[in-house]
Amino acid sequence: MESLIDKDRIQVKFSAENQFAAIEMAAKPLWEQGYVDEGFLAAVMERERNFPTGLPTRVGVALPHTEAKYVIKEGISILTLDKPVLFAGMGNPKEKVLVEILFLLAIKNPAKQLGVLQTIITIIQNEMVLKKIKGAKDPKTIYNLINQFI
Amino acid sequence: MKLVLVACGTALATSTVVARKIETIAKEHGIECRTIQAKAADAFKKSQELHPDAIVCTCQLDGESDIPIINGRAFLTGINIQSTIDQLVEILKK
Repeated sequence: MESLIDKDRIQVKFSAENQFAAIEMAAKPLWEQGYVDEGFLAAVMERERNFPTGLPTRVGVALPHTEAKYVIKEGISILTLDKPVLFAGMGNPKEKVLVEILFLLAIKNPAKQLGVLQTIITIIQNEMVLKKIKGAKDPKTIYNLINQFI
Repeated sequence: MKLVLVACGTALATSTVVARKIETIAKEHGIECRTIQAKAADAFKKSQELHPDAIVCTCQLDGESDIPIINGRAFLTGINIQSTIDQLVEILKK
């Protein structure tokens, strides 16, 4: 498959002050590589405020995304953080979740991308893999870890 | 045939994964079940039209409904997933 996940959309050990700085950094390669339009970032931020995506897995994960109309080409950007930042919990905006890994999804056709979405869910349920992703020092390591599941 | 309405913020990413999981679980329990996805904002309107047996959501839903609502986040995180499965199966077996 033409991979939604690629090394040039994986960034590691980023230092972010808050969730919005983290989302902005994660969105950068999607924007620069023509995956999303100029409205994407603001729409993701807005959605995150209304429908937060933090998941309190053993290593906290967030899955920010927004509507298909901002997506030009489908892709996923992965960002790991050197220090956790606070997200609100998915389905529970009052809950605070410390997030260390972001999967920023630029998806148009979820039925077509079900495989890769399921792969991400499989990974976030696997504490060992999450810890390896969190500890990875370069994009290639993360890419190889994820590819084992695809 | 049972019907489960799956809601998330955009009806795009998480609800797609959760809907497939629900279909698989129903099948494993010998329950005929289909799912339909909705955006959070449309969830109650759609449930009034379609009368699903349950609503499973990965987002907060504002409002009241007579239809049982299940928090589907465990289908994503895997945390305490069995109790969510039990809750779903119990409703679908009624």
